Parts: sequence; C-alpha cells; structure tokens
Amino acid sequence: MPHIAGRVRARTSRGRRLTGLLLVAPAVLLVTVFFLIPLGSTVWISLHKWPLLGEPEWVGLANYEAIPGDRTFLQALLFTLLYTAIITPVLFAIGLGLALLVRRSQPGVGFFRTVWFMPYVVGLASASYLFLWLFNPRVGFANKILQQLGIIDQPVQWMNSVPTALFAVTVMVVWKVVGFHMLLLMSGLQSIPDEVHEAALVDGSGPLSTLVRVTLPLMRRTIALVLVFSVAGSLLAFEQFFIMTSGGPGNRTLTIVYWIYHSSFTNFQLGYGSAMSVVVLVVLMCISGVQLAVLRDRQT
Amino acid sequence: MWLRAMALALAILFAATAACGVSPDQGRGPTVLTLWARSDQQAFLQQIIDGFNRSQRDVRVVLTIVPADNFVQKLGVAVAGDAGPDLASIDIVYVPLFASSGVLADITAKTRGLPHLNKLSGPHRSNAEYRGRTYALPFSGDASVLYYNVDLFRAAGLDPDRPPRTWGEMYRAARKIRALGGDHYGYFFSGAGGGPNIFTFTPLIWASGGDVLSSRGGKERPLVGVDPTVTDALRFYRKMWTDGLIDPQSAADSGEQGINTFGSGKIGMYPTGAFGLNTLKEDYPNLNFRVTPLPGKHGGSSSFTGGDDIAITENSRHRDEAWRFLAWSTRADVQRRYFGDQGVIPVREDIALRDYSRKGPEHAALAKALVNGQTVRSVQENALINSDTSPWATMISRGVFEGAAEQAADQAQSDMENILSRG
Repeated sequence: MPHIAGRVRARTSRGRRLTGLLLVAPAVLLVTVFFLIPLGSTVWISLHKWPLLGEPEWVGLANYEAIPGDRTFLQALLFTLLYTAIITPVLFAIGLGLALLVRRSQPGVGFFRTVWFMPYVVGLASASYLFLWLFNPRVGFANKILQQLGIIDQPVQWMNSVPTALFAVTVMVVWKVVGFHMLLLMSGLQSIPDEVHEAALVDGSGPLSTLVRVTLPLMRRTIALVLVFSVAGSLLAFEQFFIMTSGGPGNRTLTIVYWIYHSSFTNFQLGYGSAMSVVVLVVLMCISGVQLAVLRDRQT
Repeated sequence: MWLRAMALALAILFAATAACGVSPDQGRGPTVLTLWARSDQQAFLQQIIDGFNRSQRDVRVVLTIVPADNFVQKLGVAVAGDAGPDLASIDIVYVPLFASSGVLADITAKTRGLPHLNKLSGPHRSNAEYRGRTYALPFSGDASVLYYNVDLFRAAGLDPDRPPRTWGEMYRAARKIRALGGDHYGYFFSGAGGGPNIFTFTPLIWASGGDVLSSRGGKERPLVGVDPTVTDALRFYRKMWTDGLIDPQSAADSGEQGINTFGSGKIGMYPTGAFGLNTLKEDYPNLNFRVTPLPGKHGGSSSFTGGDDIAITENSRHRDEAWRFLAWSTRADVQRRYFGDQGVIPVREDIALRDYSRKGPEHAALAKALVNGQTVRSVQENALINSDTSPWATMISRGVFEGAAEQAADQAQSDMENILSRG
C-alpha cells in the first residue's frame, strides 16, 4: 500500500512540476531571448577585436585593460555622474512639489495632472529636437524671452559652453519626465492613510515637519523606486546629448553611453564598446544595489 | 539552333539579373550605379559624372552626397548592412580601414590591365593596398603647401622670390611681418582640428626626417612620443606662438576660418591645400599671394598628399560597369578635362606635372607637392588623428598653446597606443 501511494505521489508531483515548467516557460523564453542572449553576446564581443566590418579577432581581456588608460572614457564617466547628480535632485524636488499640489481630488486637478504628465508621452528624441530649436541662438524662444525680460543683452550660444548646454538639457529633461515622477510620488502620497496626517496635526506638527518627519519616511519605497528610475535613466543618458549638444564643446558633454556609441559605430571598435557596456552594467548594478539597500524598509 | 536557344536563355537571365539590381527601369534602360561622396566634393564630382554619363549608353552613375562629418560612419554601416552604394569616393586616410575589412571589391586583376597605373599618385595607391591586393584607384588629389602674402613680404623687407626654406627662415619672416604692427600676423594655422594639422603640420616633421606613425609590416605603431622631431616641431610652433607671431584666432579655428583670415591680407603665411587657390582667386581677387613647399627644420620640403580614392563595394551587383567608371576617370583626357579645377589636383602625375602645372606657378608648386608628398596609413586614422578630440589634435593644442611639448607628445603616444590596443 505505501508503495502504491508513493508512486501516485511521485506521478502527481511530476505532473505538477511539468505544469509549473510550462507556466514559466514563456517568461523564461522571453528572458532568454531578450536578456540573456544579448548579454551573453555582449560579453563575447567584448573579448574580441570586433570591427563593424571584417573579421573579429580574439583578444581576451585586452579591451578591459584598455579602459583605465582611456582618458575619454574617464571624462565621460565623470560628466555622466555630474549630470546624474544634478538632474536627480532637481527632478525629485519638482516632482514632489507637483505631486503635493495634485494629490487630492479637487475640481480642476485632473486638468493639471494631465498637462504635467503629457510631455512624458513625447519621444525623447522629438523633445530634444524641440528644445534644440527653442535654444537656438538666432531663432529660439529662450534667447528672445530672456532678452525681452532684460536678463541678457546678447543672444546666448547655449551649446558652446558646458554650463549653458547642461542647463538647456536639464530644462528639457525636467519638462519631459517630471510628470512621470509626479505620478509615482502622487500614488505614494495617496497610499498614506489620512489618519496619519490627522494624528500629526493633532500632535501640533506644522506642514513642513509633517512632510519631512511623517510623509516622506512613509514613502520610502516609492522614493526608492523614483530614485532608482531617475539615477539609472540619467546614467544611461544618450539621445538628449546626441541631439542637443553632439557631445560638444570639445567632447565635454560626452556621456558614457554616447562614448560607447561613438567607439562602436564611428571608430568601429565594437569589442571595446561592448567592454565598456559591461563595465557600465556592473557600475549600474552596484549603484542601484546600494540605493535599494539604503532605502529599504527596515521594519520588514 | 541550340546556340540561339542558349543566347535567348542568356538574354533572359541577363534581363532578370538586371531587373533584380538597383535599376528601376525594369532591366530595359541603362544600369544605374550609385556613387557616394562627401558633401565638399559635390561641385566637381557632378561635372565628372555628367561627363561619364554622356559618354556611355548602358551605364548611368547617380551621385549621392553624404555629409562630410559622418561619411565614414554612414558608409561603414550601410555596407555592413548590405545597403551600400556601388561606388564610393573615400578620403585616402580612411581607405585602409575599408580596404582591410573586406567591404571593398578586390580589383587587383583589373588594375593590372591599366596601362597608366604607375603614373597614378603613389600615396593614393599605397593606402588602397592591403596584403598585396588592390581595393581602390586614385581619384582626386590634394596637397599641402605654404601660402604667403607677397605684398606683406615686400612691406616687411623680405624677398618674395626667396620664400622660407627652413623653420628658422619661416620664423624670421613671421617676425618681420608681425613687426609691421597692428593686426598683422606672421602666421596662421587651424589649431583646433586634427584634420588640418595632419595635413599641414606633419609635412614639417617629414621634411626634417621624422615621422608620426609607422605601419611597417602591417603593424601600426605611433611615433609621436618616440621621434624627437615631433617635439621639435611643436616647440617651433610654440615659439612663434609665445612670441606673438601667430594670429590668436588660430587656437580656436578648426579649419573654417583660415582661408578667409589669410584672404583678409593681414596674415603673412598660412599652410593649406589646393582648394585655397580657387577660393582666394574668386573671393579675394586683390590678394597678391604665392605658394611654396612646406620646409623642414634645416631645409628640404614635404607635403601631405590627400584627396580621394574611388572603390567598388563588395556588395555591388554591377562590378564590371562600376570598373568602367574607374578606368574612365583615370584616362588622360578625362583627367585633363575634369580634374584640375575646383581645387582638385589630377591624380595622374604626368597630367599634374604637365597640363595642370601649365596653369601657373602655384599650380606647378601644388603638382610637385602632390608628387613628392606622403600620407598616413592607419585603420584607426579617425580615432588617432582626424576626430576633434583625437590624441593628435590634443597634442597640437597642448603642445603649442599650453607649452608642454614633450609631455603633450608623451601623452599622445600613450593615448594612441591605447586606441590601437583595443578594438
């Protein structure tokens, strides 16, 4: 008897295992085709001299060894970190401000939510071209408005210096993605029960200290999500600089992804581009890991 | 009977393949070949193409202009994706990259049949060769020389019939012209670009027996930090710069302003290529100038031979028709008629030294410079030299405008080695 029962159990468990495998198969397939294989081939390419044209040649770790001696890589890395350090707090602060404004359902709030979110659905490349034109020294609106307000006398050549170019790109990116941050932060705000705020009010807490001491700590998870999004997105910045500054003046607004692109498709050093991609992937994983560890809910 | 059947079959086959090709005329009209070239070549190329199309019944060449800044990238990506043109006119410094990568058709056998092969410019030919095979033919020529302002030479008490033959004489001439005062300067060069400086600065090094890059035995090796002549040449420019003999605008110019600045009549000497002749004669008809070879430290002279090679791409379906264009373009009458104007020196050395040189002493000097010139050969030419932030461009700007010649050359050496070590 126990013998038969054992066999039945074995059969059902085998059946269940098969069902389980079948159920996860589509996900495994997707991950394999769209993530593991590309990642594997990136690593494979990075171990070769891989010209865009012609025959690849195995070089082992030579491409990785060349990275520390590549001044442009280090310069691009520093610039990308600078850009991330500027854009992340700006996006977060403005996103949070907008979220606080539209958090409650009031007449007219839907209109503002829509208006602020709308730029997010514009493509990044289209938005970049739009702002490239707005910041055009001769025909752009930015100079015209600033001149009429009396802030500047001469038209500013926005893309000719790093600070002004970075400013123009920051304005574009804020306009373009702040609505998304607002939306995420708003849902975080709305998940906090009203009783908590009422209790804080009863205890005599002012609006600012309620925000800092009560609301923000309760939004830890949302904040972690928003920051990971924003940091990872900024570290991978490419289109906005490709289109608006072309990496100039003198490569000083070259981001790391831009340099990877340039190495791969202008210098035709695909192996080296892949090696840099792998390094950036590792750096990105470390940064996101640290961020998540710092912002993790300690109660759970 | 069977012969006729076979001929018919062949004809059908031919028509079918033609229809599969680029020809939009369903195989009935002429074979259409696409030719890609850089934007700065449009004017003279269109004339040549029109001339060729008039001379042919069954082949037509259509020109596609690609912006100069991303020509290499566009062509590389297109050919890699099997979407390239039949013919490509490529700057000779970029030809080694394409020749070594198997995207150009091997035309070795066809070139052997060209009777005038050895009359074609040597640097153009050597850059088109890879492992003993030939992948392109010389197409258009250019050469760097020193332009000098005759009126300023006279005003400064210099003899315009005896232009500088050494660096020392160049320095002294620049000094005397600067002494004219005001905004007169002895010298102008485009200090912010890799391209203009490989074209005009390297000849000073070559003429002094030095070199910047070695590609002996197929192995590329940078020499900028090894060959002391490079540091010498940087110090020579540096001295003219610190003594205030060079127009301050030189530091920021990447090649756009040079010719107009020289055209303004305030600059004593300015190194550039053949295109300067026409631009100056048309835009500044009152400017009294001549040209002379770029000198070495203690004499001698050299030049950078530039211009384009023309190649058939590996994925062209009409190689024989494309070859017809190549062979036609190197014919003596074609070289005489279509090349030589618009800043292009004929790549046929016999035509350059004879017909082209008859146009005047400047033309003769340019033709000689082309024949005596050298070029650089590297599959990473753009990353090493021509791109705006290449080690070469950085070396010039640090070495001349910041003054650390030796350090600048050492840094360029290690940066170039780094680029060549990866791929």
